Formats: sequence, C-alpha cells, structure tokens
Amino acid sequence: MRTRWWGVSALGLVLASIGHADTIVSDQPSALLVYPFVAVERNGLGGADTIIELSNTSDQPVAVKCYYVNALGRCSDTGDACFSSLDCEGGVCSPQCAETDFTVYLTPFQPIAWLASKGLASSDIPLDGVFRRGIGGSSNAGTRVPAFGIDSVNLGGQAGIGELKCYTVNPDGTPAGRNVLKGHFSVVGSDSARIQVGKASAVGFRALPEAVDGDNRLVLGGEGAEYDACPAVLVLDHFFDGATDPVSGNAIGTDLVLVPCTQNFLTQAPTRTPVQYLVFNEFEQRFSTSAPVDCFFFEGLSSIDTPNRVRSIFSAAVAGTMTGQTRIRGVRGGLVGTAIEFHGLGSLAAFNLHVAGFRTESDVITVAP
Amino acid sequence: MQGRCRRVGTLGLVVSILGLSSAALAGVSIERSGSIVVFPKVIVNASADPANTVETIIQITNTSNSVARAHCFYVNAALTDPNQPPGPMNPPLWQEVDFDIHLTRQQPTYWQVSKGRLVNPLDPVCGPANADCGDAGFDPGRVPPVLPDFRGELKCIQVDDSGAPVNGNSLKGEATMIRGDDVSKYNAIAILGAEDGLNNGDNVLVLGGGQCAGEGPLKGAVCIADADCEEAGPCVLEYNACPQTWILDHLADGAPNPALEQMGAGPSAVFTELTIAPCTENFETQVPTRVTLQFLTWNEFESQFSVSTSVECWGNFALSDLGSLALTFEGQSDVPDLPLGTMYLQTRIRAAGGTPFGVLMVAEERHISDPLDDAWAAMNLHVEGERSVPDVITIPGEQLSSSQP
Repeated sequence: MRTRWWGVSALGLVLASIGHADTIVSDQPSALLVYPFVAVERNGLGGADTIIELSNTSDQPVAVKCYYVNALGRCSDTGDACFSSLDCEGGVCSPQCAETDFTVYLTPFQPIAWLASKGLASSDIPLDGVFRRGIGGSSNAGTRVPAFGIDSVNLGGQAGIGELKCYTVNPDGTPAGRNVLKGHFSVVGSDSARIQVGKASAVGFRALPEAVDGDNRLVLGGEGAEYDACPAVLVLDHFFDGATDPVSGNAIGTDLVLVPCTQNFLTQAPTRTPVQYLVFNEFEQRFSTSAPVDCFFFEGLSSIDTPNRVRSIFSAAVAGTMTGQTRIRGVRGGLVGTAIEFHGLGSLAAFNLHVAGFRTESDVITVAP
Repeated sequence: MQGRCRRVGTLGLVVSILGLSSAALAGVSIERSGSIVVFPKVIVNASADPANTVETIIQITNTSNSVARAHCFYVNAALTDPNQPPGPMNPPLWQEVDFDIHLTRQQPTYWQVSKGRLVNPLDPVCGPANADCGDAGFDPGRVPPVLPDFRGELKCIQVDDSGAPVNGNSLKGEATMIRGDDVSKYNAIAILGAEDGLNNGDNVLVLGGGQCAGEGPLKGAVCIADADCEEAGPCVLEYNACPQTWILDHLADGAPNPALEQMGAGPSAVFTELTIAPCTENFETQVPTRVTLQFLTWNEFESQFSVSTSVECWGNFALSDLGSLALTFEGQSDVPDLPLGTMYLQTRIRAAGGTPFGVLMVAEERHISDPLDDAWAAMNLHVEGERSVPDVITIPGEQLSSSQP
C-alpha cells in the first residue's frame, strides 16, 4: 500500500553565479537547521514515518529550540484532515500551518534521534540527569519532544506533514548563534511487500560572528544579518516525470518540497511567495512556470504547472529528454527545500538541492519572545 | 587512454605548514557547483539474479550560461578476480579510464555507468508514444562503459576549450545507485576553484593551495602562501582544500530501524557502509599510498571510542567491519544481550597526523527488514575545517588537450 502523501508522484507515474559561503550549508555544522520534510502517516501496520537525527558537534553542551510546522490540510467541504485534494470528497485541501515548539538539551558531541510519530518522552532521553549524567555533569534533563501530527479519523490514524526548524539558544531561551548543530532526516515507508528509505541532510544556516543579538527575530542575510542568507536560486537536477528508469524499467517521478525562509511563529501568518521555475532539458531548451508557496509546499514536479500531468513541462513526454535542470527562485522571499525521487511504486531516494548565489534581502524568522 | 592508477607516495614538494593564512578557503560542498566533482561511490555488479544487480546512474549538469567541458576519470578498485577473496594473489585493479564530456549552457546529462553513452545525433526524443528515449538530448561525448563488477570512483575536472583545467565552478552532479527495484541517491562532492584563485591550467591540480607563479628555483612548486615561494612568488591558489574532519551520524551497526519496528516490518537491522576516495591522486606516476584514518565515536551516553584503519586508493566497508564492537549495536550494551538503547552514534573521521592526504567520502545505509526486503539510503556527510596541507591531483600532460568538438 502506498501512502497517500507519496501518491502525489504515484499518480504521475501511473500516467506515464557561484554560491558563496554566506548562504546555506547542508554539510557543515550550523546554528539553525531546517528539516524541510517531516511526514507521518500511521494507519495500523505500514504507513510512513520520519526519523529525525540531531547532533551536537562541539565539546560543550547546547540547548536547542525547535518548531514543528504541521501543514496538514483541511478539506474545504467537510473540514476533514487531508494531505491533498485527493483525500477530500470534492473540496479543496487547504494547508494549515500549525506550529508546535519544544526544547532539546544536548550534551557534548551527543547524537540524538527520535521518531516523528512518537517524539521523545522524558523516559526516552539517554542522560536523564538523575540516574545518568555525561562527562562534567551535563544531561538531557528538560528535553521533551512531542509527537508530530494529529489523530485523524478520515486518514485512518496519526497523520502530519510539514517541516522542523531548530536553532541554538542560551540558557534563558534567547538565540545563541552557535554553529554546532547537524542533522539528517530519514523518510521511512513500508507496506505488506516492501520497505522504502530515503535520507537527506537538514539545511543549515550558520550564525555570523558576533551577530546574533538574542532577540526574537532571526535575520537571515541582508541588512542586519545574524545568519547566512537564503540562497538566491535552488537548483534541482531531476529525471522528468514519467521517464523510464533505464535499469529497472520503472517510471521515475520526483516530489519537490519547498519551505519559505521567512516565517512568523508569533502571528502564525503564513508567508506567501510566488515561485519561478526555469526548466532546461538536455537539448538546452528552456521552459518556465510559476506557482505560489505558503508555509509549506509538497508536490510532484508535473503537478506544479498543470493538473494534467502528461501535459506538464516536467513530463518526459513533453520535455523530450530523460533529465532536466530546474532552477527555482522565490520572488518575495527565500526558499529552502529537498527532493524525493521515486522509481516505480517500490522505492524512493531523498537528496539535497543545490544552490546558486544568495539573497541580498533579509528573510526573518520571528519566534515567540 | 588507460593506465594503472596509484596515489602519489610523497608530495616531494615544498610545503610549509603555515596554516591557511592567505587562503580563506571554503572547502568542498555537496550543494554548490564546483570545478571538480567527485562521485566517491560508483558500483556496477551484473549478477544473474536481477535482485542482486547493482547499477549506478551518473547525472552531471552545467549550471553556467557558458559551455562547460570536463575531463573525467573512472578509477576501478575491483578485485582482479571479483569471484575470489582479496589477497596478495588477487589485488585490486586500481585501473583508470578517462574521457571528456562537453555540456552546453545549463545542460543536464546522465548516463548508465555499465553502458556509458554513445554519440548519436539521431537518438529518438521522448514523447507520448515513445518512452524508449534513454539517450535523448545533446550527447555530452563518448562516455565509455565500465568493466563488469566495477567498484570505484568518478572524478570530473572542468577544463577549457584547450583541455586545460579551469576554475569555472560550473559542474554539479548526483549518483543514483539501483539495486533491483531499490534506489538510493547522493550528491557528488564539489571542489570549488579557490576564491580569487587563478588556475594556471597545468596538469598539477592543487587542492588547498596553489603553485608558485613567478620565476626562480621554486617556480611551479606547490604552495599555500606567498612566503612558500620565496622569489618565485606569488603563490597562485587553485582549488579549495579537502576537509579536515568528516562527521557521520549513524545508527550503531545492527541496530533496529525504529520506524520499521513500529510499522510492524521488524525485526529490522541497519548497517552503514562508508566509501572513501582520496583527495590526492597521481594519474601520471601511479605511486600508491595508504591513508590511515582515525575514527572517534560518541554514543548517546557521551561515551567515547576510537578505532583506525588504512585505505589504499579507494575503500568501501561496513562500519562493523572495522573490528570495533563500539560501532555495533551489540557493543553498546553493558550487559550481554541487553542493549541499553543508545542506537545513535556520532563518528568523526580524519586522516591520521602522519598521513599527508585528505579523503572524500559518502555513506550508504542498508535497512534490512526480515519479513520484507532491503532498502538502501545514501547520504552525504558533514565536514569540519580544512586541511592545512595541500592535496594534489596529477594528470598526465598529454591528456590536457581537447578531444571533443
């Protein structure tokens, strides 16, 4: 059984300037991490889940403030929870942007991980501070990670889809700007026949030296920058949807995940930005399209420009070649993201997007003071 | 052109350990275009059983608005007889095969490693009635097929129209590993041309330094600062440095996958495979060198372990094959058969102090579900710091000429 939120690509499959060091890094310890994709779909045995890995790369303890954003939608007609409009009886699935925050305390060089569907209870933490302490007395005491998602009757169980942001904080909870965090997320699915696992790195924003002022506005790039800027362009190399895997013969599809850099967790007002897509095939021919992003975007590539996926510019039958390069630019704000590639119904791979350049305008993450 | 690939034994060049005083180098990247792209793990295994076949698909893209050319090297580290165990009578091949590719502006391309790619302008394009269009698009050049049972790496170096290396920073890439119906994918590691650097276009590529550009006895010597060149300065930087430390977060080998266990797909186990390619390679003299690597591991209880191993030319091994119980789930237990539950480890890997070479690496997790099948997930590692000693890639001089239209 294929999970509903992966059905975005499955539907399509059935149908057939140099970046500087001052934008995001997914391979270096950072002060602010964005896990662009967290998903849970638990409906009895099988389903999908996400393993979140978070590590402290320094020899000092660090406190980390995290925000889950659950973008699970609501059907416009029934109000039921939905991953996409396919889950609604005729209405449109409108994404919600529900935020949940929590704090994690990491001891020196400590790796920690949790299952998004379960979180971490106090009994799960490795160094509880009572019976177990680390070198120098540090511990994970105070760490609580809530389960991600909601219990939904119409989706058959626990469900959620969205992102996770984590940043280093001082003992008083103010942003600390310590570049000591690294992370990965693993998307895991299973059904009665097979398992699927894809893994990618969390996107990192490094704090600039002596720049983090400790207020509740995390400024990414631009004037008054505290952290690295968001990239000017995201670059995705991909097989066009519906291309035939030359090895297995399976149809290939790619789901794109985008998260806006600017977010306001205080007002919970989603940030809408138009996104421009520039697509090149192997003949150097160029296509383009655009679509908006609110608080979270998750679509199969060939659903971005049209509901008829065989007519999409991201379809191999339209593009004319197997692979393409898509350059993605947020018009009113920066974006980060990841990609999930499906080969047939049985296998997936997650990978990080490339970047080019950096935004000269600030993006701001506003957190609760 | 073929040759036996070995790594350089000693630098034999004047290099001062002065730190990177004049070289504010940004290191390597998995998400930026670079002037050298490295695919550390390229595997082909043509098994009679389709479920056991392994194939790799390479994707390379020119992200610039100018034509980009690249000179690429496959390095085959497969055993001489893949059906026999390794040993003195069955050494790895260490065989190198090189070729050139040519990409128009913003052009993506791909090929299947076992088949390569032919040049045929009459390749059919994809269309609603034609899904058999694997070679559609501008052919990047003749990409040779590799030998069956290929295990090794692919390096592509951006060159100009004359075939001389340039700091174009136009190349990016991904590798897709396909095993039966399973797929995993990682980003190629890009080594950027040094910021403000001027590649001298010769056959010695210096990572984390450059060459003395002036006249004098030290002209052409590897350097990291003007002071290294004496009167033969300035020191003209070429490429960014290889990382000093690689950081891998992983499950202890043999630990269960908690998601699969919860979904009822257990019992499960996860094993992590590490693939290592050297930064320094000499395709000219083919002098072999061993790189000693130090592994420092922390578990969730902040307990620390260490282990070391040596890699020659190319290495691919499961962490549990390093011989340390500390890297296994079993080894996390104070009491036999009673794991304490610290499944997650952080391992920091660096070249040993006496090893003057850096390394590049990727990891791949194998998730085993006893009632179901396996799934693999490749991942890129994190890095910290840059090596203060340059690494050098040496290309045979006669290869620095254009062989593509």
